[in-house]
Amino acid sequence: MITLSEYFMTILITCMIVNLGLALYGVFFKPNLIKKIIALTILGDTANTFALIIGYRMWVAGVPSRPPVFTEWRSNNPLLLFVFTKTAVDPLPQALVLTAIVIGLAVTLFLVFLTLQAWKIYRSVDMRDIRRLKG
Amino acid sequence: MRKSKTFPVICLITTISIVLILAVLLNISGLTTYGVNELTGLAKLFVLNIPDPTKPWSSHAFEIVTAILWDQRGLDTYFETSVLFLAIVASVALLSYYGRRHVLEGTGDGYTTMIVKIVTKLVVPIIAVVSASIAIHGHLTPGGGFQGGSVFVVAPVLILLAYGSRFLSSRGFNELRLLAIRALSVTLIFVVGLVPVLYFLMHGTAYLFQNTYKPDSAFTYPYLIPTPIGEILTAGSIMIYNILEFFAVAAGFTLAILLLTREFERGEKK
Repeated sequence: MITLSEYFMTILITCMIVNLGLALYGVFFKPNLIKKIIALTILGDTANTFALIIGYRMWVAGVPSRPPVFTEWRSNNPLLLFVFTKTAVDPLPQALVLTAIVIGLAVTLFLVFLTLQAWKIYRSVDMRDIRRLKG
Repeated sequence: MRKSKTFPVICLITTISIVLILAVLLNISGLTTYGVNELTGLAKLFVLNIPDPTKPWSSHAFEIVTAILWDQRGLDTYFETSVLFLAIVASVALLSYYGRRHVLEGTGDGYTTMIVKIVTKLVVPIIAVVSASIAIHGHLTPGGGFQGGSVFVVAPVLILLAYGSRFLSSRGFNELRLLAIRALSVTLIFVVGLVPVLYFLMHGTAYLFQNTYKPDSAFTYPYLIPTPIGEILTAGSIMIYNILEFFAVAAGFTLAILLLTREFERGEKK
């Protein structure tokens, strides 16, 4: 028998794989540069979500997993830290994904300005037109 | 692109096959077996060491993700901020290729009705306060400098859409000033990371981008400031980094969006 959380997780991963396909299709085969950039951001977000799922952990006996924020550290109780280790999710993929989001944002920003420059020079953002103009 | 009718079909088949292969590989490699109930060794090291003040490698911070970003791999995060800075500088350089005088002036007067203008007036201060709270509490609650800065940028976007770029430029948000704030913040982040090196040159052992004391180094930023009311928890340099990063990201993205809006307005006039 499949539990509710497994059911939702299956839906999530199916949707992400479909998302991956749509994003790859957009990056490879759409001639419009703006649509290529949109597909690239979807691709990056899908990859980031996969990375987050690696760090996720199942609920243990109905107790939900916690975000990696430990608020009881002034109590100096080692038992609390032990319990925290048993329920907290992995913080490392989250830190890496934060870095990836910043870099992705920088790349997207630069691509948008490059597309703007292409529009100024060629008066078109269609790959087919640009290719025809420059041979 | 070819004119033949079979080309879209080939595209579709290629994409679907790539996705199917990826799905099979993901299932084989065990990425989708999310039910693992043990942290990996590295994650356990971080979770046990960072929040515990009695451990030698502690960061004295509640929030482990921000502590990893700014303490455990601070130099990495500095270079990540530099990448963002370089992207913005490159974008500004691309735009000013056609002469500065167009870039320096705004022309638009806004594109919306009275409703959007009044709602913008009401919402913008709230956005600013929430973003500052996210940045300043970055070492206590989920959030941080980058997240707070990204939230702040929503306010300039709303103002640009409701009132036009001239409104922002006439109130001091011109691009030279924004670029200066951005550059100053990134420089100050590096200076804060460099202070331990000065300590190393004068007194004793210290490490680049060091936060609090280590077993072989007495250098520490103040992580617990006592006041008459209570103790202020600053988590060492993490709070300073968060505030500086907030200004850097907010100024940088405001600049990028201001320039894009101006291009948009100029295209509209032609």
